[in-house]
Parts: sequence; structure tokens; C-alpha cells
Amino acid sequence: MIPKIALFSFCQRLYALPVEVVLHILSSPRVFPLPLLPSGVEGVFLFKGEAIPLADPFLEGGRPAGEQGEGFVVVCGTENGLLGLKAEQVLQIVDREQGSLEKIDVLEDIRWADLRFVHRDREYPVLNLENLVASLPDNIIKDPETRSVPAGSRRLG
Amino acid sequence: MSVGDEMKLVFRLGRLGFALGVNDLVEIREDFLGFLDPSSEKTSPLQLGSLPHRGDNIPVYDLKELFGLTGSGAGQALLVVTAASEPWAVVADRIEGIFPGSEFESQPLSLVLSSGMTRPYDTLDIWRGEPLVLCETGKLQTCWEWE
Repeated sequence: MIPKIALFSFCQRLYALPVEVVLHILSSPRVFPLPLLPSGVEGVFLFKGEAIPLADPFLEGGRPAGEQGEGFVVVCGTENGLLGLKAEQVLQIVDREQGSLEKIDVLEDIRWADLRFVHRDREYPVLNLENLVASLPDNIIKDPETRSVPAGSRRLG
Repeated sequence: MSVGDEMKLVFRLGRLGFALGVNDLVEIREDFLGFLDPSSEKTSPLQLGSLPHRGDNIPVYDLKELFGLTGSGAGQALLVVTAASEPWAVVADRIEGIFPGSEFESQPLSLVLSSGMTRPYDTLDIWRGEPLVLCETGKLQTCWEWE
């Protein structure tokens, strides 16, 4: 049961998170790139001395830097550790009863969202962070010229 | 997180920062370009060529290719390192310097990034507020042999 839902926007798209996974919201921390990151992961930022990965909630890598927008980083807890999600706007936190939660039956454009929250006629995919993290190894950046996976990265198994 | 005693070299490939323990560092050369032989027999696709070093020829490997970094620019410094008994070298774009181990705090790469993937690095060194990729020579050696 999700008691409260936090609503965000990023790049003119909406998304939602159960408030219990949201630990902090930071304003534009400095982001450091690292090699061999999955597409959609911009780099890491330091939070309480720990290097935390920063991801686009829709894992759409390659967007020109000027379109990424300044804004906020939502620090979330996952089973594998902390993860930052980019947000342009923190819209509001609402009680679950203020809208309706619907199961997403078919694969939509965000395959790590299995619920949508409908609030005031707007639909917010509710991100399942464990699914998002699990999808990262499929999203390794390929060299734009050769379309090959960089030499240093290998998927286990 | 842990703070080590070993001094570390900080270098850059493009704007990304890397750290390397000086215990594995044999030499830093800046005059290598005229001596690098790219036509020598290569044992790895990541090998740029070979270089005479103290009476022997040692392989020079391409760290940028290993780390999936594109971008031009001939490296400005050659780092000769030794893993086990066989020395090899890699090229860096810029050397920041050698700093006391007390300036570095090591931490494992987040499980969010490391779960399900293997990379040529799995540790970050936080140095002066910046996460650096820690180059472990044994791990790099394995990468040269992989290819």
C-alpha cells in the first residue's frame, strides 16, 4: 500500500515515486562523469561523502546538455543503494486517495513503471526503481561510430 | 570508505580523473611520442604499439579505448607501470600530480552501477571533492589479456 505519492516533472514529462523511497531532494549538485556508464546515467554526485549515480528517470541518454535542464535531484533508496533521479520540478506530494492507482498492463514507453497514478486528469507513471536499476546493464552506451560496446564493459552471465 | 597510506598519482583522460597508486608506477615520460612504434606486433586490440624501455620493448595500451572514451588528442604523458614482473605503459592526457594517500578516500562503485556488469574499475577515490576512477594494475592487466 502506497500512502503518499511524490509527483515530479522532467523534460516536460511527468513521473511519480512512492514517498517512502524519497530520502532527500537536492538542488543541482555538481555531477561528475565516469567512464562506462549506462545510457541515461549522467555521472555521480556526492551526497554525505558517497558517490551516488544520477539517472534520467526515463533513461534517455544522449539528450543534448542544453535540454537537460537545471533543477533538482531526488535521492532515492533502492535495494542496491542510493540513486539520484533528475527532476525539473517537484510538483507536489499527495495522498494516494487523492487520485487513482492503475496497473499498467502493456509495456509502455517506460518499462520500469508498472503503475500509473492518475491525479486531476494527469497521468504519472510510478517508477519502480528496482526495475529501473535492473535494466541498467541493458543500456550500456555504445560507441556512436562503431555501435559496439566499449572494450572495458561486459555484462555478467 | 577508507583512507590509504600509499601516495597516488592523479591523471586525466579528457576531463575524467583517475588515480593510480605510486607503488605500481615505474616512470612518467613526456618524450615518448617519437619512440612509440605502432607497427610492432600486438598481443591485444587495446595495444597502441611498443616502446623501448630500459633495454626492452614494452607494450603500450590504450586506456581511452578500454574505458570507452572517445575524443582526440595525443596523450601528453606516458605512465610506465608494472603488474607482477612485466612492465607495460598507458597514455594519459594530463598529469595533476602525486599526492599523499591521506587525501584520498576509497569507496566501492555503487552497486546500482556494478550489479550485473563488470568494468575495468570497481573503486572510486574521492580526492578534493572529486570522485576519481581508481586504476588497479592487476585489474587492467586482466583487461589487456581479455582482449
